Amino acid sequence: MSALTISGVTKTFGGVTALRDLDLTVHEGEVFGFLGPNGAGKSTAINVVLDYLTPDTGSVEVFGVDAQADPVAVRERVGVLPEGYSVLGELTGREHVAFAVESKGGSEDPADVLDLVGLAPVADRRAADYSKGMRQRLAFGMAIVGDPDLLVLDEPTTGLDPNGARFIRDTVSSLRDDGTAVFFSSHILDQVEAVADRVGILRGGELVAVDSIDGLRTAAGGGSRLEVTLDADPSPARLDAVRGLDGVSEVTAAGATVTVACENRAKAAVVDELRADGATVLDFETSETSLDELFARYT
Amino acid sequence: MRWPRIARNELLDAARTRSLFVAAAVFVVLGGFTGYLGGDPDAALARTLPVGVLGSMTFLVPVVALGFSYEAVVSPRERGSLQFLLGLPYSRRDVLLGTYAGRAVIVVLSVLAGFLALALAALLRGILVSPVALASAFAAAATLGVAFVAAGIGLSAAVRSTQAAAILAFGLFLLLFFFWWQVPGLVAYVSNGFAAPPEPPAWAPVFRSLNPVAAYGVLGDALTGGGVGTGIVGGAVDSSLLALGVLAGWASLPPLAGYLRFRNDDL
Repeated sequence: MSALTISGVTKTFGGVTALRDLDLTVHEGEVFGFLGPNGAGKSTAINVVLDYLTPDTGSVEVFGVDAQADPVAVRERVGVLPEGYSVLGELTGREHVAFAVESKGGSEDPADVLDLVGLAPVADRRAADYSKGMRQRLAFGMAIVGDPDLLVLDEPTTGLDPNGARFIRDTVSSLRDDGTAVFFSSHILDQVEAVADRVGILRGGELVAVDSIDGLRTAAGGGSRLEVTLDADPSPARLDAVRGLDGVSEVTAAGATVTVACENRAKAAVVDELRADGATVLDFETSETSLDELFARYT
Repeated sequence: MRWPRIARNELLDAARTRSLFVAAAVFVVLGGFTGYLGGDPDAALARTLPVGVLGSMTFLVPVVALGFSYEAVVSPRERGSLQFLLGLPYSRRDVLLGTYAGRAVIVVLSVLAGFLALALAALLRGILVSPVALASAFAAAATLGVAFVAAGIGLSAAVRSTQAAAILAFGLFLLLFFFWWQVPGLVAYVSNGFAAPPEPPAWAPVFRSLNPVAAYGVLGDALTGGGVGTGIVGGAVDSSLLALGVLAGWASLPPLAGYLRFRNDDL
């Protein structure tokens, strides 16, 4: 059984289509990164999963339970960090966590949860007075209470400093290792790249790609970027020879530095070809296509 | 039963923002004055004093009850607290029931404080009020409060903005206090081809009886043997049972109607 299945979900708001026939599956125990620019429909999709929105067509199942028919059964198994939320009235941080524990039938000591998310020093302050980052830590702490089987995190690193963002990634990784599935939306690639087993890219309400990050790189014709610095400027004929190699897609030269976009398997041949007329390689750098380029290509 | 936890949070919030104490203080002042100054001390006052305050509560209880309820659902919805709460294992029905119960308890506690103040103030000048009269008068005022909390909760659940809720609550107040009595005559006038009908429509007393304020007046009259509802009852059917039924209807039907709109609405 999959943790989350979205089937043919379409949602329009006053004639504007926010989601168009969205199909998506999150397997048990995997971290699924849900990527897309702002306004792509990520939050709409998540709000349908949480039954905050009713889809025009299609359905959502969480561990086989229909999310619109039995939202409470879904919420019992899911830890939620919604987007654009406010904390609960006048409750303190500690009362928030205690409320989450009793609501979910958890067994945690609220003090331990607050300690884990770094809010122990402000536990007895009114949560409405917390900074954005503190509220986000609080909401994340409440989401992981009660050992959920699926975590739904909508832009969880918003408002967090780098340490906070790393803490969330590390916690997500260790929860995944314990068998928790995670559905993690973000418009920031590094956040997703660091933790996601698979990534779905949403654009204009449609899923334009779903794969592992490596798979996406390959599918997008990514491969490697090679930067070679020689002891002398290469001749145009030499560059043409490199261009002619199998697996090479682009060659540019700036003085003695040659930049080559190619598949991984062509790297050695490129270097050999550049040295073929006696030139010496002074420096050599290789990098994989950045996710930014990948993202730009899809969206 | 999940909703009592939500009701408890509502109460806690009202205590922390002090709104509970402000409302209670208003009723304490009203009850205290009535208890200390109401009527010349004689034997009958022990029984009439508690019901004597019912007339002056006719406006105050509905105003406080609507004030505590009209934004109770829509304001957290606008702010996003509702979405946060619904991330935990609660249904929308739990939220509505818990909010309704919490706000109703706040209003009932405030009213109770008023009646306790009345009894204490009366005691200061040596009058021991009748517990039965005190309890039944409190019950009548509390029922009116719950009916208006229910109306406010119902409209709060049905709308998408606090502004709309405020307008509806104000409109409802005007309707129930000022325009309700004109409705039968107006309908008869229109259906008679915009001419004065020969006689008031036969259903007019029944319609007037459906007003929760009129029902409260009928109940108060039954308790005092007349006097409370003067000017409120306005030709309603004089039946305590019907009045209780009307108040029970107001306490249940508006939240139900609100729920039917709220349960599948986009948040």
